[in-house]
Amino acid sequence: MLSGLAAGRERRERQAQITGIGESEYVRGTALSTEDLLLQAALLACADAGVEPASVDGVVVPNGKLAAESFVHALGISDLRFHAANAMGGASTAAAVMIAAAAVISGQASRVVVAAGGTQYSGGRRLSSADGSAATFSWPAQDLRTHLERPYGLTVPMQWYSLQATRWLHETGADPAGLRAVALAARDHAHSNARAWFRDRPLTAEQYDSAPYVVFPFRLYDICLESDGAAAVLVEPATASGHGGHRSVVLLGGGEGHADVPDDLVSRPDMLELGLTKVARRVFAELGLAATDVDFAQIYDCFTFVVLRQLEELGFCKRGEGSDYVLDAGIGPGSTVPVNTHGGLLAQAHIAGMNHVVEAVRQLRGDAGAAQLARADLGLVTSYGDMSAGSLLVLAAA
Amino acid sequence: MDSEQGAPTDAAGGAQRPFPGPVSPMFADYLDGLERGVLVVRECTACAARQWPPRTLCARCRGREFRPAVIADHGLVHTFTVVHRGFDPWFADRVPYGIVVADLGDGIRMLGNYLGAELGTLVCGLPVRARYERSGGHAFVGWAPADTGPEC
Repeated sequence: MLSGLAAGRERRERQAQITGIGESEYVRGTALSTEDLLLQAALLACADAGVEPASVDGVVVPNGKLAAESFVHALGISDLRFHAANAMGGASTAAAVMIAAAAVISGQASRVVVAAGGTQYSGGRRLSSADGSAATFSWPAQDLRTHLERPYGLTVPMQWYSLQATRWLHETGADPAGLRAVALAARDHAHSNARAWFRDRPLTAEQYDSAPYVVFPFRLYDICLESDGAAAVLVEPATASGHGGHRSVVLLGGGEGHADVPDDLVSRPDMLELGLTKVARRVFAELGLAATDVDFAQIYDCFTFVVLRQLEELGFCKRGEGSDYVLDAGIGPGSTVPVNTHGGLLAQAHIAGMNHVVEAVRQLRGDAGAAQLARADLGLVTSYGDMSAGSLLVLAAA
Repeated sequence: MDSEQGAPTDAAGGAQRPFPGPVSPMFADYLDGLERGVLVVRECTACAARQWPPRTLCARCRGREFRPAVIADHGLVHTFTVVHRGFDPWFADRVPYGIVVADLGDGIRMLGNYLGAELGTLVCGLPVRARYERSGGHAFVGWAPADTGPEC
């Protein structure tokens, strides 16, 4: 089935591949700037792909964290033919990889760098802060935020999604123990990853349960890290011959999705709907695949709850059964479809989910070190952000 | 509403309760309603469709003219959260506090703080009614259990 999907010249002309990956250090505390980190990751992705940085002719920057002109200077790009920035919060990352893919498939560019991340911990504005700095971030529909939410103490994403979580528990009777299972699995995976912040720092069920609620029903360890760091990929046409000496990783498909009433969770008729609900259905139908066909899933995990809901909307189980799925089938090391083999945003670092893309490529290349899965031929990556916007990548080793 | 910015505050020199500045014209009738103790949404002058929250165009007929419409100020808790950590200087001194999404029927939901005596009584489906609070010279809506009287 896989060879059928990834092979064939005609099909390859409509596909892109990821030929390079790069990661800065993942830390909490840095003197480097967001620009420094993004450029470092971009240069490392070029080196990994075995291409001259000057030969890059396209740049996509999720959420416009850095102007394309800065890449021109740092990489020595002589003819920038394509650039784009999108704005879906955390969901921008996988969507940006699809923008890069579209650019190289259409011939508008041939080598496109996609770089994400920044100084989320050291940059002076933390979403976890009590100083109100979250209000200075760029959110969709700012009038709704400033007139209807902030006056009532609703300011940050973990609060938005907690409203969905309470409704989910009420409407489906879901087991809240699934939240804990996701937190523990992330730590279990992190022990195999040299970059993981929580490497060698196990989390026990007792520690999880005794941690305070931050925003009900989320306790401390339901919430991801805030990190400094950047990651990047280089996207080329699937027909290009690789120079990096790696196994080729092809983007079979993907895209972005926006829920009904995409900028207002409160008024969304079905408050549980996600952007992923739409894009997953669309992409799997196009590819003739089901989520359960993949060998691993790197799922955007800003909060444990968000993992459970995405597993449901991807089709690993029905709505309301995410907890049963993670408690029964498992998502940790050794499970049928391991989730976030690098530790994810919860236990490795918050690199805007580009660390999920990089880990997917490593697994498909067979280069994931201690975390390498015995079988890694087909995988998926999700990104998630703003008012539950979503994006999805399906990747295969070719 | 903009003229109220010089009004006396409830904590001189301290943090102010967040309030939009400047107020968007689309929200002026709603905010004026809170001052009078009523909930005001928008109604399309062309097709009479109710609109909440305010948007530039009517979702039914793409009309762009609206008039204010007062709606009933009671409903059911659709969902809620309880916040134990401050993300804003004014609210940081008030944790834990509840946030309620009240379903008011006709597809209209409004958010506000929970004004019941006990956060532990907050459940989905709880009947609630609007109560109006003042802070920093501005009016805000909150939600109290429907069985509590207006003077509680």
